Amino acid sequence: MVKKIRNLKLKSNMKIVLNLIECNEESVVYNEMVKEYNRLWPKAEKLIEPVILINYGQIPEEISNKSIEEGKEAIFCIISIGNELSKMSTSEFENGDYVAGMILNSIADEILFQLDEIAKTHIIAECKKRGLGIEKRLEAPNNIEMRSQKVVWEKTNAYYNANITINDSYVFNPVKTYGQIYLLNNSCRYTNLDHNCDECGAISCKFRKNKDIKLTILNNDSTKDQINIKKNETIKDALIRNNKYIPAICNGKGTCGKCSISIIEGNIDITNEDRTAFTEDQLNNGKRLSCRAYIKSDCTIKIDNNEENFDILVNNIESNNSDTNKIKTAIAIDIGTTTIAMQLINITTMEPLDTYTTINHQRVYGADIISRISVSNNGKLDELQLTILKDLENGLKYLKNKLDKPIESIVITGNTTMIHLLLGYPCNTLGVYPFRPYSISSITSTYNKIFKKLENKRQENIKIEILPGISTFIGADIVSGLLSCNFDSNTDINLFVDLGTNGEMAIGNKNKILVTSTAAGPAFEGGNIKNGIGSIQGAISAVTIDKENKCSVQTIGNKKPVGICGTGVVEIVYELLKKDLIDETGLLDDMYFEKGFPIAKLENNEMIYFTAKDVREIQLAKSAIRSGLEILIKKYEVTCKNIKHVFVAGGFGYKLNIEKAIGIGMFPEELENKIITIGNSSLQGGIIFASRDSKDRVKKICDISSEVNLNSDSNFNDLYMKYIYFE
Amino acid sequence: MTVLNEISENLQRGKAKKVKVLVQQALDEGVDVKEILNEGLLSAMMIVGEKFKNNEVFVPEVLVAARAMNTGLTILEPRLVSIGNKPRGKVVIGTVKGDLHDIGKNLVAMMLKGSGFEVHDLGVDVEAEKYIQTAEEINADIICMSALLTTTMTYMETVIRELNNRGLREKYLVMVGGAPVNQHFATQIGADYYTEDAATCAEVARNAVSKVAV
Repeated sequence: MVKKIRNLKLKSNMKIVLNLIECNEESVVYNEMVKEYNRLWPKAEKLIEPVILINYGQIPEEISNKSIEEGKEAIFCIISIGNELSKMSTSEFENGDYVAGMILNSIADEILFQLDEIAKTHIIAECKKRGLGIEKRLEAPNNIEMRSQKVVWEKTNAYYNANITINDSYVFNPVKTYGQIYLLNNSCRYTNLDHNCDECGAISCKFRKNKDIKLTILNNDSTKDQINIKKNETIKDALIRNNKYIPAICNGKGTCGKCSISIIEGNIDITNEDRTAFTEDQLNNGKRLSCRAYIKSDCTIKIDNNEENFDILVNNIESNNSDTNKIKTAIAIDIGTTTIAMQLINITTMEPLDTYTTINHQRVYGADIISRISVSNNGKLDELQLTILKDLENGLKYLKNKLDKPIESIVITGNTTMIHLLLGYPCNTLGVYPFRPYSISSITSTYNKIFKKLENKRQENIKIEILPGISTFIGADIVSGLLSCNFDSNTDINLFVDLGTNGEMAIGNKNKILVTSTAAGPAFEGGNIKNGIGSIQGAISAVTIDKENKCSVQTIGNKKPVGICGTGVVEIVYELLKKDLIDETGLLDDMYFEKGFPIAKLENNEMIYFTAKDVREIQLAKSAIRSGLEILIKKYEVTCKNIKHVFVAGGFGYKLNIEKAIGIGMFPEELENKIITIGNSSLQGGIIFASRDSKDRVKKICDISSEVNLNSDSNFNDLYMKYIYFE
Repeated sequence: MTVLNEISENLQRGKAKKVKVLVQQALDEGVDVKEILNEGLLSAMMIVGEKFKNNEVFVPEVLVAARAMNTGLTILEPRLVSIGNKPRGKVVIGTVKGDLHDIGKNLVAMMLKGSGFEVHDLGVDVEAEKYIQTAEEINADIICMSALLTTTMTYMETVIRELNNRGLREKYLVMVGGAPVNQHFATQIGADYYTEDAATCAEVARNAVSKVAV
């Protein structure tokens, strides 16, 4: 039944009326306008015939579309102030009293806005009565076609109830009549019934709200930062533009869920991607994907996945406080795709004096190398380069302040793409066959040259050396790692594995080295895992499952669990295998198949699950590593018996429980007692390079290395399929 | 200060009563009617229009000035008729059929009048026949059409097509405007001019008729 509200006593607001015609106290004709308003309002008041018509119903087929489903519950509303005031305005214009005509027109508009506000309170009441929420306000022609006006008119029986007519062009008479549809929703606790200025065509409207939208970010330490957000800009992009870090593993495709934010205050529409990424409870608690979130009014949010506190691996050795006056220092830097590690070292003793680590802020452009390459190819090379220069500059400033002494040199290592981006080399050949790098030669340069694009940079002529790489896939970081493991001088045959998104590996001795890399995917770094997270404070890093299938976990820093990092993932899979909750094909037990296996609770009591899909991700990752190793060993024409040591590098590898990693089949059992975890070997190599003349050693490593291409190896695919299973 | 300067200054400040008195005074002093119109009223209104375009004054200042202008014009009109003064041009204006919104159209009519045009306002919901008939009757120079909705602006094309059908298209300048209208649409339907606001419309109309006259 149509709810009809009439006989409203409305008082016009002079200030708003005058603002509508751009008149405020500063205007030279303000007093004149006030006088006119006061003369006109008593007349206008008598001419207003306010009416609100509200009815509940369903969206009919004729105006339905992809986002406005047919049959969806809705409230139809018409507000009108009748025709008399408009008539008076028109006649004043005809008489040449343009001032009166315009003021009367503005009074009409302002009264309509008031009616709209009153209508809202009735609509909210209607929703409460039905236990529904409002998903969206639809207004023609801004976000729904004009035809909807006719629907509203019919649904509210407006001709019968208020003598309102509508013509073939869907224009109401009286002209000061508005029709809206409110889409209802039973899962939405928000009441989105405000007019959406962003979707409105009236760009010169004095009530337009999106002039300056403020986004406030609530930091972990309860401080707040306010940033400006542009129109048509996602929250993720606004955060990046304002140098706020937000992980965007999938580079804004809306699929990885890592850029999630929580609404503290305000309102952000729920998108389809949000519905995939979050549960209904999470949506109701204000979780949204920032890469899909546009805001229309001021909003306060919290960044959920705060990776700034990454527990970045550096092999720290206690310094024995030598006389600081005598020591010579250098800085070694390892640029990883995810993290950057920097150490100030005493080049005489090769001891670290201080360490600086940071997340690689290029991560906002995507977590993996491929997304960085594609972003760079899309014209953002300069941005990526500046991002890395800024990260390095921050570290250099920090480390330089530690000792008031000149630094002899800076040595930089990193994978081939990271070095390309640092130097501003074009990356367009890195991602496509035959994967040729722009340049991987060693570089001797200076701070002034390498950092020249940085604004406000210091004037300094410190020498910078960048290690060479072997190929696009085997970069300076691996060369440096091999240096740190003495691959150029060992007579014994050793294996080297850097566990990361790209599992780079090498086998050999001083005579011959074979290198290769295998796409392990981001699973070991928490990517592609439902509740995966980088190695940050609170990341679950060790797991045991008891007889009752209860999980007990350890987290980094013994903090409340925030997610599962790579080592945790390996441990979970191992424990599930041991309890027969995963079969040899990787199938998760029926009992947990649907939701996943419950691991631990987050601070807000939400459960962290390890899902059937997560198991699959690990199967792919560990098989890639294992198959690569097997091929290398075979190609080198040796067996596990001939191998002296297996050096496992990488932040993830360092804390890896080797027994469990072998348990899930990542390494051959025969290598069990030969595995040594060495942490950030790339940085270690950089330290050696900075302290001892190692140019010839590095050159030798590059010279005796040859790359094995796994993709063209027919055995690789067979092995890959075989090692996917847990047998 | 001459009386014409005084008229101009008072008009720009929107002093309607003062303008009324001064226009009468000028007539009594024997100042040429055309001079009062052009140098007293129209040039002052043009200055206001220019200031509005440059964001030096806003809508209210324009409104009070236009009102003052209209007051002065009311006194002058009988004299202008008797000496057979020709307006700058003749305009037929209206909101197109199906559309009842008139505030934008009213402001345009106001500015055109302030530019010395004889304005025939046909109101809202105006059919093609009405536009054309009136234009023919008064021998208009310009047809101005306004529409506030995407569903109604298409009627502008109907009017232009009808002008073409009757072989009258070349006789008139067609100007269009309104919230959903843009240059692209105007070009598409074959209108001569699209302008964004009332002040620009008046300026473009002034230039357009002077071009036609040459």
